[in-house]
Amino acid sequence: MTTVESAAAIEEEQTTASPASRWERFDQWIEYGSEFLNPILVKETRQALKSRQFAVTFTLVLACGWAWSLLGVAVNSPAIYYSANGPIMLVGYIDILLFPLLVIIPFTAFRSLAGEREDGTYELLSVSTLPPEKIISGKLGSAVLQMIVYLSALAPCVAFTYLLRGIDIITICYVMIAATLASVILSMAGLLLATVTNSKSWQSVLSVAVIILFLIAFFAAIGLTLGAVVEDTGWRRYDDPRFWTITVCALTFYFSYLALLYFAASAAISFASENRSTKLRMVMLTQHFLFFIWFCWVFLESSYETGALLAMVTFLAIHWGLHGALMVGESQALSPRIRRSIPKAVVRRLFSNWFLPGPARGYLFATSGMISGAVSIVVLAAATQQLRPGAVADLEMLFAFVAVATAYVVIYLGVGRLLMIGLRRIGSGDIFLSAIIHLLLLLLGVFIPIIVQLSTYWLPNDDYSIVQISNPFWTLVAIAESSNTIGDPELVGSVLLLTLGGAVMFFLQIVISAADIVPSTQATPQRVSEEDQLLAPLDVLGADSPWDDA
Amino acid sequence: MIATKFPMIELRRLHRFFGATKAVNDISFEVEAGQVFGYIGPNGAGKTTSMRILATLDLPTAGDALIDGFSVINDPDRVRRRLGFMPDYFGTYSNVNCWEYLDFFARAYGLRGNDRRKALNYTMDFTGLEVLATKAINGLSKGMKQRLCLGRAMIHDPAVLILDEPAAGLDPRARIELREMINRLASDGKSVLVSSHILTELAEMCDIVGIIEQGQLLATGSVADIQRGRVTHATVRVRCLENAAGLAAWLTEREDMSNVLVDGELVMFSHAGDRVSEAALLREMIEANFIVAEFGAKHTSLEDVFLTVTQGRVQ
Repeated sequence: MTTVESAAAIEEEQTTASPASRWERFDQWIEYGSEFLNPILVKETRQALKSRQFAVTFTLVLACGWAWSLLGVAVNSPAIYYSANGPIMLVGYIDILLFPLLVIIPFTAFRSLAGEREDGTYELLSVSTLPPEKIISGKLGSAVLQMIVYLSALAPCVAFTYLLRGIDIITICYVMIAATLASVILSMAGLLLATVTNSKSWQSVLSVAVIILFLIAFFAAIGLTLGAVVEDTGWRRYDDPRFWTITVCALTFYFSYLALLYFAASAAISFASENRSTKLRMVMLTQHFLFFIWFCWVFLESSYETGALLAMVTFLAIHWGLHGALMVGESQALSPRIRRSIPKAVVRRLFSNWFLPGPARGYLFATSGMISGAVSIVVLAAATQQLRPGAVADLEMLFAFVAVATAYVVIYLGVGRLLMIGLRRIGSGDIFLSAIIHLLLLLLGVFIPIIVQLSTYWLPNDDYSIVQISNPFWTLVAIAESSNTIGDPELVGSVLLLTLGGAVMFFLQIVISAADIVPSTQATPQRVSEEDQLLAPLDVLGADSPWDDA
Repeated sequence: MIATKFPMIELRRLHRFFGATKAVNDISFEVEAGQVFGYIGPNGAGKTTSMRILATLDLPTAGDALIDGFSVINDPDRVRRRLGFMPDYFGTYSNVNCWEYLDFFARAYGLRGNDRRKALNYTMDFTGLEVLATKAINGLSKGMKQRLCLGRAMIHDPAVLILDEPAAGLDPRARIELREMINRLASDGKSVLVSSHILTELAEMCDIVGIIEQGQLLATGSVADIQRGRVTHATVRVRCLENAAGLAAWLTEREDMSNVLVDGELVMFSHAGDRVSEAALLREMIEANFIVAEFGAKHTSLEDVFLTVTQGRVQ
């Protein structure tokens, strides 16, 4: 045998798939695949694989699954051969899965980020080039990976329930997907809550609150699963298009709120000079359109039921009231970094200004959202009435309801903003303080008139009176339940005063915020422009392209 | 990294107030490429606060800090690409070994494929951690953890390194090794801002020092510059075998001498002048027939400079 032949033989021997080389190659593929993954996901997967907590939980889930299989078969025998035992077995498996899905994984996600902030490793991450969105998506990805592992562990057991009869594959998939989506959004909520405070003592308090929240979700989910799978409440109408439309509706809202939590968590950990608001405002606007579209669908499906439009106004008022209370607490200062990103073209600035951070723009964004929603509802109702006369019952009541709900949002946010301006002059104010102030304002607006009405003998205790003008709940319920809104002087007075008050507050806010609404732009520093030019030589070449002259 | 006309580190009238406390009060200085800047000051002087602002972890109340011409306030993303920060704590993860730890940060800095592998190999080699690659971080000694943290700070080959008390708690050998590593980094063209309480070490490795106290920069420049500007006396110790009292009297008559003390054969005094004038003084003593068996001058150390500049107000 020549040297070449012997070398070839050795090489052939090495490549005939010895177990070690196969593993090495597999390892290389994994390594190559990990290049495209989020670094946090890679790191946390490595950590989880060595973690005792993960090993113990995984073993327990597996053991519980097996124990429930044996117990279920033993208890139901011999009827298991012929009766429909699928649902009860499925509920058992899902309840076993729900504990890791709704408690352990979300809490691990919460602790994962909170722990980084406590131990200082978060600072090391934040000085890296990893953007906040990637930090949050990495943590969420790690939670999703754990979900996949737990679901895989019990997948054979869940498949076994289908063989036991009494449960269809769509219901199994529906319930499993719902449980997974619930786990994802709870993990996202856990991540957002982990960004609330850096203080160790507050983190401890928050940990207890978070685990209570997850346990409540867990027990609620057990109840829902029992109701949905075992006690057939008639919700499984898979052949009804409305069932799937409602599912799609629920999914659109689910993903919009998931996006809202995601961007809120990313904003909370981003650098102070970054734009923390624009993406959040875009999601808020998307949700606004979702509310409008889906309630229009309900309105049409319900044969022009006024209740659908009242519900739409109520949801829009809650939506803009809640988000507005937070936006009003944003910092007044617009960093040079943000100001230099403002488009120079007037038309583009006109659209982008609404999405820039700042309390004045936040107030206008929320109130304009509410007003545009109210106008759309009025136009929708009026158009429907025009096309199908008599289709919309009690149009006056609807218009009064819309006007009053809008006025409440404008007035409460306006008063809250004025208070925040005053507070900022004596100290500092943030979104949490703003939320607390708006909540206190609402509580005062509700309870003071109730106490006044109940403690005075000349006012009726049960009936609505104009004293309740600051109480949005009683006023709106009184309008909705009134058979003749125009005939009730107390209600007419409230409607007129609130509408006038809302208009005055809106214009007052525009006057005091005029200078802040349109921010000044800032030129890009020379150093930044220089580097951009150096880093984008292709763009420079592109500008000299002969095609540009055409 | 592209060479630029900007200083690698620049503090422009930096202020950071926490309520009534002025942690950093109008600090300005510059560090050029390849320079090691020693930041000296007692606890609570404002060193860590200004370093955290430079590392984009905090915002100044007023003023700005720039890394390679980029503002830490307005361009933190560009600053982070150029910056390696080693805080005064380890910041390590559980269930992770040295290689995985550095690999994670290499990925976090956007290094992919061969670039990442090269960076890891170089960093492991530079910090001497190859033999500990698979060792869990929790089992490392303090010195090894410091090496690992330095490795983390330099994994993406930054042009600027900010090291907050890197030698704290290390044994003498580990300190020497750390000093050598910092000198190597500077010789590679990196700008290093290092704070320490061990002043003798800073004197050996720093091109420039800045003395900070109560949020204010009291002096800045090379150690020699500061010594020249602040301290003009050397303590001289002479062993005179005969007539030490006569030597003391002879010295007292001279204008450039003070604090003359006699202890047996030993005569100690403060001499205002440089090494050349010390040599001239020795020659004059011998010419004056004093039998000088020993002549030594103790020049001001960085510690003396520090105590003089801060007027001994160490908190």
